[in-house]
Amino acid sequence: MKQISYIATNQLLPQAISTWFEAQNYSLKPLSIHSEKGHPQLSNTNILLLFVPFFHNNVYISIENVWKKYVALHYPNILLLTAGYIKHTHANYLDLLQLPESLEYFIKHAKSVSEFDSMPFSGGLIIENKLQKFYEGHGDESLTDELGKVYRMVTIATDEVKIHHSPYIEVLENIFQANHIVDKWSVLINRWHNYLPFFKGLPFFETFKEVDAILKQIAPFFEQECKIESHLIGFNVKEKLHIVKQKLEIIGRQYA
Amino acid sequence: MSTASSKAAVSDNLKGENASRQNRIMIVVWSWQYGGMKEYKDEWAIEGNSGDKLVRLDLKMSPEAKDLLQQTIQSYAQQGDVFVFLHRRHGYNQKNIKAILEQLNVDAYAESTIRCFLFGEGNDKIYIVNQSKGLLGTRGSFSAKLEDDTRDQAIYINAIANEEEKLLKRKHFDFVWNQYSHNFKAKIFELKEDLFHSLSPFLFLKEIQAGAAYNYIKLNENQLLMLRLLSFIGKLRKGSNLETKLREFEQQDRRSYFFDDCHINLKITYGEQLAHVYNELCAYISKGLLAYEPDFSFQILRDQFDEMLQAMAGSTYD
Repeated sequence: MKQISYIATNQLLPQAISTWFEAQNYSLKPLSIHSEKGHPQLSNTNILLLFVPFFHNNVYISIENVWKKYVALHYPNILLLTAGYIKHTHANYLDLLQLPESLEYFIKHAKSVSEFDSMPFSGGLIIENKLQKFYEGHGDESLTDELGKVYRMVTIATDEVKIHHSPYIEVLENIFQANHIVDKWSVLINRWHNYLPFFKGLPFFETFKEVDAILKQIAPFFEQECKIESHLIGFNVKEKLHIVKQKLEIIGRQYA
Repeated sequence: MSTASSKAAVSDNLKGENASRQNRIMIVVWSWQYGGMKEYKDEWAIEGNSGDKLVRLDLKMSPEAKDLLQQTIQSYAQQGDVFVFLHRRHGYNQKNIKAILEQLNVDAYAESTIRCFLFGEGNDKIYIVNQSKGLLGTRGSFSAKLEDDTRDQAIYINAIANEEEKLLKRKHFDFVWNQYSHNFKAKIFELKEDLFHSLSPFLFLKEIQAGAAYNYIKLNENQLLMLRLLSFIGKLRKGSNLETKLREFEQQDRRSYFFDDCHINLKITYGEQLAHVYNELCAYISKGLLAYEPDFSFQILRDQFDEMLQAMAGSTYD
């Protein structure tokens, strides 16, 4: 029996449809987005089926086209399929209310990710729009803009302390307090927490989890209103913010 | 989960917006003083209607601000439906909304709908720079310049009809109100998805006996689905035990399940044609899915849901 790996946020559905797949000589194997090794382990996967849209944060989220990009970038030989309740005749889409007579025939005629532009839209929240706002150069919803502001100030302050040996009270007053960095950090964290739950179904969510962990490590510095000099250096705030920026920039370049 | 906050959510659904009959009041907590507002609060009327109004508040989140906000909401809820917009940068978040609604006795305002929205880092249709018919401009004002790629000059948009009289343009007020009222598309879409997920044990059978899906939905373990469907088709009696049960499900899941204001809202905002599609869908659910109809078809049910969703303009979610 051939195997299809699948990702679903509702477990009743794959359970119910497994009999149909078995009758077609295919078995369904669940795949976790969040594996022990971080990113989804697809190296042994030939066919990946996504039951769309995903359901996270009490919202149905259309993630299919970000997954298409991900598969095209990292696993171009995997056959990517989606399945859902919308009516559509895309070569890689299984209409669950009108299943094909022969799955073998359907798979044979499905296209590789490089052969088509997009997966059929599953009707939920378009995750690309969220990513775009997250990565906007400026604006009331941009996370990276706010991160850039905090990073710049922390960099200047760290250089003042480390290189120019400026008294910390001056750094605190002239850089952090004068530029309201605590408010900016608060905005940054607020936005981060707003966005994070929406990204759970993304193939690179592990990166967001790593970023979340780093932000938690340096949060005490800002929560103490940047008043504790040893936190700035001891927590490696500048270096950690730089890592956060880099990690997010890699995703942004590819998907936003 | 507090009963008060979920009561608010439920009452939000139960009472209906009745936008055409009720006074509509927006309370907007934003950086108004930055734009020149002298006090922490003032009130603007809407052209053409003496009952609708926009209340400006500039209150950073604090225990005192929360109390003041609650008093303000209570006061205006006696006059009509109230939408409260809280600026995230003023320190408001979901927890604050919960706390505010918890202490509001929403049952005391049975004739009014009270809703709370966060804006500034998510919902943005209230801003002129994002929607030219929005209300909030730049720097605590009702006006903004919009860049237009097709013109050399930026367009200046002002939501004020008369500054001296503190009067706002109706089209701006209506647009924002409607944007935040039209959450039905998402709810209908979610009902459709959840419905087919729940019925998935039947979807892939070669033959389904008449009424099999109905018998399945009637099972105690599927009570939530049944109640949502009853609410959708307008068969959930107000004040009944079943209504209470659905309210409990809302509290437990922190999702919005009630639909009984759906029909009137669809009529008001989308017109008679959509109301007709809605009635057809309700009839098919009532006489097909929730009955022993031998010719019932999941595909037809899907098509009717799709027809309705496609007829509702805009995306499913903001």
